[in-house]
Amino acid sequence: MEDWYKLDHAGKLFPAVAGQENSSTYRLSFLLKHPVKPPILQKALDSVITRFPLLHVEMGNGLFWKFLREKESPLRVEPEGTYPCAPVSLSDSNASLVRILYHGSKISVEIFHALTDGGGALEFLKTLVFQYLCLLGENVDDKQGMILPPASFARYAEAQDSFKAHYTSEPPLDLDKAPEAFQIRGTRFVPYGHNVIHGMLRASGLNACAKEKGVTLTAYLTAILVIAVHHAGEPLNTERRPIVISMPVNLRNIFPSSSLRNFFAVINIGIAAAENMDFEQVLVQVQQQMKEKTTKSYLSRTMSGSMKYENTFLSRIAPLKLKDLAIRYGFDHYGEEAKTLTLTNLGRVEVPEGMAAHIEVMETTMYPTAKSPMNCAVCSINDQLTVTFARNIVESDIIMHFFRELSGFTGLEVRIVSNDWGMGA
Amino acid sequence: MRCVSCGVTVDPAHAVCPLCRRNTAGGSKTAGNRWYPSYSAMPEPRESGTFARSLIFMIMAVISITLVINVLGSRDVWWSLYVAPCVLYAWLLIRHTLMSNSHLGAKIVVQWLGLSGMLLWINALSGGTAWSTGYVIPFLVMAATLLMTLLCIAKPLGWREFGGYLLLMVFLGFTPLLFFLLGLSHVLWPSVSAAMYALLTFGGMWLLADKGFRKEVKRRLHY
Repeated sequence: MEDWYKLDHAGKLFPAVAGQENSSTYRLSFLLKHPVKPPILQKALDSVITRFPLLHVEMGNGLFWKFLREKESPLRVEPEGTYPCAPVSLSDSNASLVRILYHGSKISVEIFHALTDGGGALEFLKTLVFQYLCLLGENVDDKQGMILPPASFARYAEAQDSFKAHYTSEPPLDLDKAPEAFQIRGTRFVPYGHNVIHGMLRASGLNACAKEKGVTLTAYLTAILVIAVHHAGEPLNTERRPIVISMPVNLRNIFPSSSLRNFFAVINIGIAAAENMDFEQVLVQVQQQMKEKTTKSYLSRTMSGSMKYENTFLSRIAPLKLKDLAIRYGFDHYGEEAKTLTLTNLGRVEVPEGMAAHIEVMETTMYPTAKSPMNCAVCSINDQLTVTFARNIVESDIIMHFFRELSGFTGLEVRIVSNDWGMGA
Repeated sequence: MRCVSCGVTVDPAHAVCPLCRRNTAGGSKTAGNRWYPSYSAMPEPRESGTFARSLIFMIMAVISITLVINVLGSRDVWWSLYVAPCVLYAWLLIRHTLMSNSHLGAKIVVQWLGLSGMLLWINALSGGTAWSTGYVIPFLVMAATLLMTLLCIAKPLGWREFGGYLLLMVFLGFTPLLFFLLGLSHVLWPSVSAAMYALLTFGGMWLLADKGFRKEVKRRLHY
């Protein structure tokens, strides 16, 4: 029987703000050691998608909220043809909100953020590639239980809106106090598209550098990013606005949840503008703020801050179009203007040993937006860490500074690869 | 290949460093890009806006020219104000109904809105009895609801495709009654008929149609 789902709390944001310059579509890829066989990948997809029905959906408009319903047409794997994280079509019922792409030996999934976050997408990609390797006849036993078991979809737990399950009426954070952050400006690519630059380095080496400074790997990379933004943008920051790095936090690590939908909060790490920025000082500030803002209590208050708007009687009965306008206003003024760019770290991805032997490297790409034209995403597998910058502007000074600083501070070898969108190559 | 300026190793797929766009020490591109396809056939910017803009210009030209002729000529009758709603309706018909890829259900709803708006405008200008709100709009809404019901029943995935629009027409079926309550129409029976027809459509579908309709109602009205 045809199934349908309400959008989860975070998922309600993305359809309202999505457009060409904010695709709200992110990508996760595994680069395998051998070329992908599309017919086998299609078979793997056909068997795996029943385990992830939440991804095989189309979006519909209700009077008060949008909703997701099961798609009639099957999901197809496609050769990668255009730039990463291109927008999905929300109005065309034949279009999918999920793309399964292949190119050479790379398998990518691109998912509209209203369906799930990086955690859910990673489970899907892992399961898909595991099944693909199984169908190829490779020896990829999952003795460690790192892949979702092929049992039927546990609707109650896995389709749960965990925001509602863990929402408390703690006093929300005062969002009005957030000052306007330094904004990156630049020249849009014509034709519009996303240029992606990956930098790959040894994860253990970088981890050792971070440990030596007594900070986490994410804090270390964030501090380098702040310094890079400062170097590239300092002459333009005449109003001395703070550099704010926005960071999604996976709430599954703090609140028990096996939901495959969105369950994350966003914290902002802000560093006041100064003429000279010292890396060590920035590092201390970043680490301190990250520690403060990833406590259960802080994240709970962040959740209640956003949930309080959804739960008011007025917002429940307001027509969808009005709500979309309000969401867009809030996103622009409280979300986009309060940050310089986003850095998301998916962390160390663990897959069964037999499967890991077939994976060379992985990457995750976070879509840029109109006001945040450059974003950064990090993940690692098999001791290979990939830092990915996606941008929709020609200017790349921040990225250049970032990798120069990263290479300089750590002394590690950084290997660069790009899709060269807009570079005429 | 090494970029001396950036201090990084560049993938052999690149002739220049993707960071600083300088040549790498080690020569030229020696391999294809394992990560991405070449974007030789970059999508061209869409040019479909030209016709839409020309159409808007023509509409504005017709409305302004007729207005000027009316002002400079005989001003006993403001005939140009009758032309404007007809021209605007023609624009809606061409742009939204004939030339767009909009959903058929959306086209029917927009047609009802457009026709009702045009007739209301003409009726307001001509004065006299409220024939548009009293008779034409109630019958138009009933016709649109009937058409949507037939589409729901006749099409293979009718409920899925048109269920939401049918619900919208059911809501719009109460508009004539609202007109009457607001004093914008003076004849009760067509307004009551439209509301009754909307209610009967909803009730009939709820009781007689398969689970698809009930599910569609839940989906569309969840809050």
